[in-house]
Amino acid sequence: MNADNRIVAERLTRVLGRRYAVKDVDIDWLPGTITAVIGPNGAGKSTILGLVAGRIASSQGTVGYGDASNNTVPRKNIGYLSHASFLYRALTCRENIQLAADLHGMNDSSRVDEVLGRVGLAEHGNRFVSELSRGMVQRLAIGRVLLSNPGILLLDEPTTGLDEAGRAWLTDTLKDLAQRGCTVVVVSHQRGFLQGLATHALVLRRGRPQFSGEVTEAGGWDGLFQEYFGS
Amino acid sequence: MMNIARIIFWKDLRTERRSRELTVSVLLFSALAVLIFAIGFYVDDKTAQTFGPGVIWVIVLFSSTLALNRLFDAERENDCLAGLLLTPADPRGIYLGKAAFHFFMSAGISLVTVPAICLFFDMFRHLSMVAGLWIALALFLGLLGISLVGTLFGAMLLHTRLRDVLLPIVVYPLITPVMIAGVQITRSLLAGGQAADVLGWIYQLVAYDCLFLAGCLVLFPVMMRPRK
Repeated sequence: MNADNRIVAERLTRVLGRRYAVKDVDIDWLPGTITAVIGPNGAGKSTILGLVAGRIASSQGTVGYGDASNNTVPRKNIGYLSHASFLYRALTCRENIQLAADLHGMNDSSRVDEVLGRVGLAEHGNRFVSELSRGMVQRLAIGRVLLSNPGILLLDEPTTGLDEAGRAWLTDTLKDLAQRGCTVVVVSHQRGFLQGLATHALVLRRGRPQFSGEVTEAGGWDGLFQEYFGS
Repeated sequence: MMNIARIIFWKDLRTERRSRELTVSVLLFSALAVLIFAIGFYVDDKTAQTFGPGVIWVIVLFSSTLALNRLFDAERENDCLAGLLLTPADPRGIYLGKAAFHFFMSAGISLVTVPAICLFFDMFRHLSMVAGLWIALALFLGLLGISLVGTLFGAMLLHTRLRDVLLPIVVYPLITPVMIAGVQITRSLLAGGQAADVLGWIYQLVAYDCLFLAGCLVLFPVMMRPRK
């Protein structure tokens, strides 16, 4: 396992106005694991991902990559899927992926077609993003994230707009990446999707951590949901 | 950094070539402004010479501001600017690419509007070839300054609700030296002045551009960094 893919943080806090978006969250996400960040709306799930991705600055605490002393966001090694797709509507699918490849300094143009094929959009490479359905946009956004083979994957609601086959494909892909040593962190409200995917969980409520660790420690998914969500 | 700037510049050029949104809107605005100023200020040769230089620079400024307001439109959709900044690409390259595109568009539009103003204000009669080239140099340097400063604040105000109003309020005071130098150069040359008379103003424009290029390259990554 690649130790560079480890993510550690101590007492990670983000203040928004007068309230805490997240408060005192400890993280130790290891390579090869898939962690689900769960909680009700407004619990701070997306904020955690934003903090780790370097999109949001922490008010207290720092995120370490590889080890706690390295606080520089390794942009080449992080794949971050946000609520926003980061895709240009006036560019085609291929041009969007090519742009991301160019910005990553990747010279291999065959990789662009490979990624389009991987996300099932090989035949739609010349279509503009503005012409795509929500699910296809999501597939393309996932392709953009996977393009640089990142060791750390941070995915915020990755199943949005995906059909059953898309969710199954995403599950297989993420499991495969974790097996290869990637650190995968997923925010999702879809219990079924998470149950078939994640081995670890971080439960948040009003920005405070309620549980962090292996799902089995909480008595499995049923136990976890029973304990923290009452269902 | 230059490679990233080239990538961003071509990306913008490609999207503009398809939509022509910026070209059409700014060109139409400039044409209307030229007409309005011509109707409003042209009385005779003397008034034309007095007001002409100011009209040139005011229209150049207004049209480049309009282009600035739309420069980051594509980045606002789907939060693409954040997407760019989260890649390993040098943010200074992103800034340079956007500034270069704005300069390219503004210069292209000025190539149409400035001769049109000269035509309406009957300025060609008083303009030698050499004087015309010096004015072109002044416009080149002036537009470069506007693009450098404007792009920085255009990115900074991207998600601000009153962006269209705030941008000129923030940018115009900073580009006042460009306007003063530009108008002085144009007026002097139209009145039969020599190159030596305007060299000081040209140096001022060069110094302004160098200063703001260096400053903006330092400031852009800092301003784009997430705030605590």
